[in-house]
Amino acid sequence: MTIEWGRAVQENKKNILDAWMSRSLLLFSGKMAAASPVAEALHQALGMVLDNCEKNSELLTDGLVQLSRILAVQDMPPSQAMSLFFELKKIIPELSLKGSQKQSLKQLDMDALQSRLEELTLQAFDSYMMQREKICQLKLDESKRMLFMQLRRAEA
Amino acid sequence: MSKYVPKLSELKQEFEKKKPALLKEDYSGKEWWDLPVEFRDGNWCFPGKTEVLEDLGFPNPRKWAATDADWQLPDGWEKTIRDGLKSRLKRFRSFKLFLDTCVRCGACADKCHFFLGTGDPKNMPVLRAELIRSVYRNDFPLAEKILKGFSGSRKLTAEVIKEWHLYFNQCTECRRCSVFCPMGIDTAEITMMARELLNLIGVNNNWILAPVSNCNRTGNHLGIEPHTFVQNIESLVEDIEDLTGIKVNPTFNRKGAEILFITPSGDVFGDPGVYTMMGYLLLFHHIGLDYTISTYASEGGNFGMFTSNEMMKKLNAKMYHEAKRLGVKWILGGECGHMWRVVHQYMDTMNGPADFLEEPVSPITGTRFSNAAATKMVHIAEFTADLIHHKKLKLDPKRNDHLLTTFHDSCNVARGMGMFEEPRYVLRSVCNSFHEMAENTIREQTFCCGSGSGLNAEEFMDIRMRGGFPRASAVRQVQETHKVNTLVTICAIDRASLPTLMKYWNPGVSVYGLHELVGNALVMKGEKKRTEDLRESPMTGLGEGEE
Ligand code: SF4
Ligand code: SF4
Repeated sequence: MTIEWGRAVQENKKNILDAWMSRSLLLFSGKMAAASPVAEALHQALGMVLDNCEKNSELLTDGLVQLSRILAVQDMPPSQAMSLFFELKKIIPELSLKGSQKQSLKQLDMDALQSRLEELTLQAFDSYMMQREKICQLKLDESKRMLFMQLRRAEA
Repeated sequence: MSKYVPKLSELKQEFEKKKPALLKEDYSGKEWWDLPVEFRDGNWCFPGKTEVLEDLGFPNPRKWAATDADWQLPDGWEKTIRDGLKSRLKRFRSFKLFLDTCVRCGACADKCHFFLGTGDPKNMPVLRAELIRSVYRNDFPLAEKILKGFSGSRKLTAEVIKEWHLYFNQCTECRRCSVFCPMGIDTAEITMMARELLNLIGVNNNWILAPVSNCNRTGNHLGIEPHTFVQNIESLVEDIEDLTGIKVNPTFNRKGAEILFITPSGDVFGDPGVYTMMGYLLLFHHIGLDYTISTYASEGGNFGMFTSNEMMKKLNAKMYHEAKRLGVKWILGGECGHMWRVVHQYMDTMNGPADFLEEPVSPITGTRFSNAAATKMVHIAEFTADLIHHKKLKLDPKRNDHLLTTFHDSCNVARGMGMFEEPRYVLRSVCNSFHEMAENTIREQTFCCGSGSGLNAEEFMDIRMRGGFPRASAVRQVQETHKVNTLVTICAIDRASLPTLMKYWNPGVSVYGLHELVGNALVMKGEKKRTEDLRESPMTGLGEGEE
């Protein structure tokens, strides 16, 4: 079942990725130029996620880490960052209809797609939170490094 | 008027033709200045604390936050800014020139690491400067008359102040944009002026002002008192003895020493700066240098530079004061970025001439540092490179075989004083594995760490990670292609902030000061068998960095 929507994704990958990318850029409300290196990195990460979205794998995890690393330090709340996965729910069926196969996704496939996207969103959220926690840890580590000699004396 | 000056119509045409795509982009039908200014956690630095401002005698001390709707600007703040702008336009011809001469060719647009790392159009240097230029144009009729129709002008409002605060604190004064500007416009200097103006009405940054106040009081950023400063270094002396069996003997405030050594205080209190300090101490012992360290001029860094010209001058003055008091011949300066910009570009005219000092001559090699004839202050990388060149150091680069290195040019040393080769020469002499990052990310084109000019505040972490993204990407490339695990740098802010940047974007890469590697490689007379480097990591077979 999943393979059906998965096939639709693979067959229309370029179009889906491009559409996903332009919808993602809208999240930045005009403050992310499409030609910037961050946008390029974002494109690459979205591509990695899309390539490996059908089932869990190390590559998918890597893609999600790359994606969340970028998103976790942007000027937007987590909910907004995660909302880019909901875009896929609209984009995939829309573009699949126009694909070479001229096929539509059956309701069963839609359900499978829906539940896979939910899984992906939650995984992405975990990954995003890991990055946020990392930021907190980095802040702590940095203060400790700054006070290195003082702490050393205090501990002695 | 010279026939070579282009006509306004020609400039206009050229601008329309050459305007980079990014400038032409459609921001949902909005003018760039209509894009909202939003402060949220991670993109603003805490303002100067009331007591810090009071200590410094700075205006408008109060409790406030950038996220407040009302910033409690003082009565008549508009006049303060206008008068401030007017007087600076008169006093600093470069500032006026930079505001007047931009032809908006867009060459600088995609050169700023903050633009590249955030994608925010207002982080293009041309638009950053435009934030001030648009007000200047509105307030100074002649300029308006000339430029009307060429582009917009706007009124000075509280919203404009908020925008200045946001974007002039997303510029690390790194000057990368100026390398590419055909008119030689230095946006860093525009930022310096903007920050001066903001300080006049109490719009400021505690991460900058607290170190300024500490320096003003005790001489260094953390406010370490003289006895603690000495204790810290003595404790490093003990570490050196444990690791090498050698007892080094630094002296403090010793009158009659030949050389005064000044380094950023991060080398005396922070990790990994202290390992660089251990490297200096070993080096000086190795060559038997007659030097002393001051507990008054206990800071090479100068956050006054990020505050105002007057403050920079005041904080810098202690270097010459102390050199005079101690009666040294010349000053040797440690690894720092902005300290060298201040020393190299401003010290002589601000606080010189230091004619009580001598033109520096290396007591070991006899080399005369005529390039430092004006300031009487020599950069440690240059000093060490000269020692190596004259074969005065016994080095075993194998001791750094666990470190596969690349080199980050600090913006201020590279673009502020044009030093590119000396640190590389030293690095190649003390380790066996060194790979350059991509050509357009090093030397005069180096990318900033994203945390310079007093922006390495913790609460500013999100923007720092974004601003540092281009630098991190270049490191990642050599990490992937050459298994680089060590980023070597000659700047204290880099040593403080790059470890964080690396851990976020490139886990597995650690940050080292150049003289830490020198310290590892130095074969000291009478030393015990060295198995650990100055961080107490095994000298071989480490094979990877942190994490
Ligand atoms: S600052 Fe220089 S490079 Fe940038 S737009 Fe103006 S003239 Fe061109
Ligand atoms: S000085 Fe550096 S940070 Fe500032 S606008 Fe230029 S490139 Fe950007």
